[in-house]
This record gives sequence, structure tokens and C-alpha cells, in this order.
Amino acid sequence: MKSSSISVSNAVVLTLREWLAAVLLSAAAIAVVYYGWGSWERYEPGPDHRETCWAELQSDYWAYMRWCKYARDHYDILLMGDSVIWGQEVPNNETISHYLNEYIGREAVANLGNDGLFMAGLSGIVRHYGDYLGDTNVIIQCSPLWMASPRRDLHGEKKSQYHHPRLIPQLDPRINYYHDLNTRLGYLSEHVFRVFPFVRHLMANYYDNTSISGWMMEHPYSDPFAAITFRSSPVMAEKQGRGIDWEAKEMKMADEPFLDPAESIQFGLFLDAVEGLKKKNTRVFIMIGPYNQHYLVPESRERLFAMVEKIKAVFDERGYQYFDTFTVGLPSDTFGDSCHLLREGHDMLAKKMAADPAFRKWLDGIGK
Amino acid sequence: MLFNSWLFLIFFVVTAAGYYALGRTRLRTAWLVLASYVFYGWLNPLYVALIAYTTLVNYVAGIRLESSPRKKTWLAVAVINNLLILGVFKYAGFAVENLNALLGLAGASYAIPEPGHLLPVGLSFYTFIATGYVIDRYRGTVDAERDIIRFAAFVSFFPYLLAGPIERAKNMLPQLSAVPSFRIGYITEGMSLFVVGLFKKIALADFLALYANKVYGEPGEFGGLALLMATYAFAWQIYFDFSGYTDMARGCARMLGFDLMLNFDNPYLSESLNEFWKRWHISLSSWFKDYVYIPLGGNRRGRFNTYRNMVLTMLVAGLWHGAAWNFVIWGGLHALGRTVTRELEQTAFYAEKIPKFVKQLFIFHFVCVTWIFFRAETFGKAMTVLGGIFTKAWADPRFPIAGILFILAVWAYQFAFESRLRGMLERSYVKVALVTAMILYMVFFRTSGYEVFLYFRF
Repeated sequence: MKSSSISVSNAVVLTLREWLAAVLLSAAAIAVVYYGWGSWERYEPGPDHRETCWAELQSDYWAYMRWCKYARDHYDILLMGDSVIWGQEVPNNETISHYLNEYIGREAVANLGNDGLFMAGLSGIVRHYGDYLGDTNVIIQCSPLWMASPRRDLHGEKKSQYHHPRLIPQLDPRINYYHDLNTRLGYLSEHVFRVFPFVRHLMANYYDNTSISGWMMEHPYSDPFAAITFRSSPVMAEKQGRGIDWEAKEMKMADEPFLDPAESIQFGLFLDAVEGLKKKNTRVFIMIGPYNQHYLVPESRERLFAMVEKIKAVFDERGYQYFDTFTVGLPSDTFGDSCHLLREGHDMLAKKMAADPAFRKWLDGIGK
Repeated sequence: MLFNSWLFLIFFVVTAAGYYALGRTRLRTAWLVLASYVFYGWLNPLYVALIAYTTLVNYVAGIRLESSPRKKTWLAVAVINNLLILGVFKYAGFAVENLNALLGLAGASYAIPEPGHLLPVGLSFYTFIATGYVIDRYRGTVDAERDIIRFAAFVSFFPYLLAGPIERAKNMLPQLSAVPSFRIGYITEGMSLFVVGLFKKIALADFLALYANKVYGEPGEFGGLALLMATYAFAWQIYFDFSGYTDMARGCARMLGFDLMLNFDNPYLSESLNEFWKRWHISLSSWFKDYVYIPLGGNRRGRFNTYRNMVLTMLVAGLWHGAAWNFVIWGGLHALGRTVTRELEQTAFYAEKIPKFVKQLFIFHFVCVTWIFFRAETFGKAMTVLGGIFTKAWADPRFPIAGILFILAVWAYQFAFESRLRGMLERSYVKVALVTAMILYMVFFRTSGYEVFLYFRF
């Protein structure tokens, strides 16, 4: 036994061989837990399933990946977008995906919407957590909300808080981050070391959204291993909003600038997301909107429509197939706020979209 | 830049790669200085100017101490300069606060405005490193360093820049002069030190901090047992935090081929306070011994002078830790404890009849009492904690079982390491199992967020 050449107060000084053994053992143990967990933890999504509201689960991208995998294996179409797709104002069986299934005539569409999942976040999902988004069909939402102002577009003058900070580009393009460089490097590391998102799943699912050691402090006499029940968090069926229209909420009219798509960070990253999906051999259909044009002052509404026309021009140029939800003519009272639809809005939108020739053509191409 | 950060990992990989790539050229030392200044300037670019100034003054003094007939003058210039920097940046606020209190007592309506500047992190450490060098130069125990780049590297070497160990010129300058050779052994030893330090910091210190911070934040709201457990928790937190930092510092240095001094040697196994200070923050206690206690006369002039020197040294050591009376009281308590226990140890009864374990427990608990003054934000809160332990009802403290198990496990390990069981702990499978357990714990159980290292504030 060779002793260390440095003075120490413990015996933990490893040789190269010992280090290799420790690293291999650690990697093996992590791999067993990481890969085994998917089969150990009960996960039984029912009809109209949507993942539990993001606010409840912080950033549980491991669970999101699992839902992607399940959805890809059980549904023909994955509908991706923000809380408009998730169904902020309605229960599970009143979402866009629910009505699309009704009008298509079968359980074809899975709801992959998530709270605050802006377009840059969609790009992050595709890039970093898109393992199961390949060889399938995706409807992806292009929401004007995220291009309504510089702040929404992640380049406001002041540092802002964003949803899903882990999903936005950490270094390029330059975004006025509210997190320091070290935190962003930590986020980058999570994309490489998938065990960290998995640990956050454990924290979210079993440990009150805190670290396991933090949980032990709050539950001083409990066994942290006993907290693991191998049951996924209960499926969320309730709505998050109040389900009433924006005028009843007495929302004020807004005057949003709406950005030029050519200068929009969000739009640029949305295009990256579409290209990323295509590279995964996935067929993509884009849903533009919805957005509540009724709550905009006339000049702002003009700017919105001008921006949407520019977006469509880009899609046409790139040969993307899309459905413009502004053609539906959704009435004012179908909106709960600036963009979230109420039940009637989802119904109308899905009905029109299911009848849209471009969408029908895309739908007919599934499986061919 | 914290050692336990991704930013540092990138910084260190780049620094190490550059250092070994430049190994046989003179540029390697300049590279270390550049890296150290980037490391330090990352916190605040103005800090770099301060350390560069300190380096320059002490470098010139070191050279002048060789040839000038006025050696005492040059020593005084350097030492006073270093103490002035410490005084202005670290103690000015404390001095003004106390002067204003005195003015208030005297009925004066005028108050001196408090200085607004912040204490640059690591200032106490590198000024002591530089001061130690000029005193050694004066005594002739080290040669003058004529290469200013090498001297700058000695003062600012990033592994020990922020929180020690407070290295000595006779240990570091020869190592900085030597041409580095890349050895796998350096890397594996350095990684071992680093991973143990990281585990101490993020798994143990930060975990115990959750409890200690909660209770010490509002001590009046907790029962006696909770106050006691929080004091135990803090005692181990500060040990894990500071020794963890030192382990990481030594690990980084080792990966670059340097051997920094051992700074913590299982201090909670000490049988006496004298021994405690030979095991706790060794680089600081030996610094005070060499540059304060011995120049004061040490133990050479009788019992009274010995104790006077000991008390003075401990009071200054307390003040070094922070510009607040709490730290002076902490130093004073240690001085009192060392005085009493030194007498006690000279009695046959204590030396021979009291079992070793009882002595260790006694010393640990005495140190815990002193930590109360170190940790509490005010003297009033310290007294609330101390009094509360003995007077308040011992309700359920809600201290996590895991915390108790960690502390007992580490203590048992340290006892074993210093016993005949050490050979068992040095077996490969034990070491591999321990490191694997540490890695897995850090991956799955780590606290979210980081606590800043406690000793950064000094």
C-alpha cells in the first residue's frame, strides 16, 4: 500500500486505478437509477392527459421527456406550445387537443403544452430534451405573444425574469439574463449531464420541490428513501385560470409594439426549433396564434397583423405548412386574457383547423 | 469565483492547461499571476490594483532588506503599510462605530461618517502572506525574491488567495522557482483533496448551515435543545466549510504540482486547547505564533509573561477574524481557556486520571461555547443562545437525524484515522467506496444553491 506524498488528515487519497474504479462505480450507479426509474415509477396518462402545470413542478424536463416518449408511442400527433396549448382557462377535456381529436375523429393529438413555454423554450426543448421528438408528427405553436415587445422577446433593456431559464440560449444570442454566468454554465451542464434534470424530477415529485437535503431539514425524523413511492405526481385535471373572459376581468386595452420577425430573438429560435424537428425526421405543422386582437388598440392591432403577414411570408419562403388562427375570427368573449382561450374558443379553433385544407393535407400525410 | 462553481472548473482547466504548456518557459509564472489576477478581479476589478500595490511594496522592501543599512526602517515601512491597508479596509468601520459610540456617551452631537467601502475578499490572507515574507526577510530566514513576477505569484496564487492557507515564503518560493513536471500522481492526489473538500462544503457544511442559520437567525424563538443543536451544527459547519475550502485549495494547487501546508488536522479530536490550535487553521495559528507570540517573548520570561503574551496573541487573532467585539470576545475566551487548561494540564490528576475521550469531549464543548460568540450576529444574540441553552425548556429541536448521523460518522472516521484502524481506512476498497458514496451523495442529495464560504468574510 503506497501512502500519499502529501500531508492529509484522512485516508481518502486515491491512486489513478482507484479513481477509475470510483468513477466507474458512480457512473454505473447513476446509470442504473437514471435508466431504471422510467420503469420503476408508475406513469399512466389517461385521455386528454397534460403534464401537471409547470408552476407546480418547476422545471421537470425529465418528466416532460417521459411524456414526449409516451405521447410519441401512443399518439400520431404531438401538439407543442405554451399555456394556450396546455389550456390555462379550461379543464383537460376542453383543450385544443381535445377538440382537435373530436373533429379529426380519433385520439390522434397529444397535449404537449406547457406553462410559459415560449418559442425560445420550444427551441431549447427540441435541442436539449427532444430525444423522443423524432420520427413523428408535431404541430408547433408560433405565438405572437412572445414577439409583442422587446421584454417578451428576451431583449428588454432591464434584466427580466423568464420562465424556463434553463431552456433559453445561455451564451448566444445575447439575452439580457437575470442569472449570472455561473448559473448559466450550470444550466448548460444540465443539458450534458442528464442526471441533474432527473434529480429535479425527484425533488419535484417526492421532496416538495426542494433539494433532498433541504427536505430532510424540513422532515427531520423522516427517512428520505421512504418518501419515494414510485408514483408519479397525480394527473392534473383542473384549470389554472378563472375561466372568464378578459372584459369581465376588466383588463385594459393594450398598445404592444410587435416586433419585426427579422429582429426577433424568439422568432429566430422558433425557426431553429422547426428545423431541429425536421432534422429529427419529424413532420411539422405550424399553428400561428391564437392571440387576442380585440384587446389591442387599433394601431397596435395593425402592427400585429403586419407582423403576422411577415411571419407567414417567412414560412411560405421556407415551405412550412401552417394554419393562421386569425382567419378563424375568434370573438372577443372567447378569450380569457391576451392570448388564452376559453372553451368555446378552443372548440371553434379546432373545428376550423380540422377543416383547413392545408392541415387536412398534412394530416393525410401521416404514416405515408 | 467559488471553487464549487462551474465557472471555476472552466477557469481551472484553462489555467492548468496553460501552466503545463508553458512549463519550461519563464512565462509559466506570469501565466499564474495573470490567472490569479483574473480569479481575483472577477469579484471586483479594483481588487487587483490593491493586491498589485501590496505586492510591489513588499517586493521592494524584501530587496531593500538585503542591502540597506536601515533594515528596521524598511521592515517598518512594509509592515505599517500592510497594517494600514488592513486598518483602512477592514477596521475603519469598526473604529468609527466605536468612536461614535464614545462621542455619544460624551454627549457630542457630531458623528464621524462611516466609511462606505467594502472589505476586499481575501485581504486578511494575502496581507499576512506578504507580512510574513518581509519579517522572514528581516530575520534572514528566507532569501530576497528578485523576480517580481514570481513574488507576485507567491502573494496572489489563486488557490490560497481568498481564504488561505496562509503560506510561507520558504515553502512556496522554491516551488514557484522549480520547473513543473506533469505527474498523474499530482492529478489524482489533487482530485482526492478536491472531492473531499467539495463534499465537506456542499454536502455537509451547507446542509448543517440550513439548521444553524435558522436557529441563530432568531435565537429567541427556539428552545434550549435547539440552541444547543444549532451550536453543534455550527461547530461542524464551520469546520466542514473552512477545511473543505482548504482541501479544495490544496487540491487545485496539487494538480498544478504544488504542495500547500495542511491547515486542519481533525481539530475536534484535540485533548487540549493548545493542541486545538495546532490542529485548527494551522497556517494562521503558526503565523501568530511566529510573528506575534514569539516576538512578544513567548514563554521565555516566566508564567505571567507567558500568559500575557498568550492573551494578547489570542485577542489579536480574534480581531483578525472580524472587526467586531464578538470576535475579540471569542479570542479572549480562547485565551482564558488556554490559560486555565494549561494550568490544569500540569496537574497529575488531569494529566493522568482523566480519560482521553473525556478531555476531547471537554475541549470540543469549550470550543463550541466560543463558537456561539463567533456565530451570533451581536453580543446580545450570543448571550441569548448561551443563556437559552441552560434556561429555556428543551423542546423538540427538530434537528435532522441525518445531521446527527453525518457528524457521528465523520467523528468516528477521524477517531479511527488516528488509531490503529488507520490501516483499514487506507485500503483501496474503503477509499473507493467512500469516494463513490460522496459522489453519489453530491449528485442526488446536494442542497440547492450555494452558501458562500464562511471565511471569505475575514
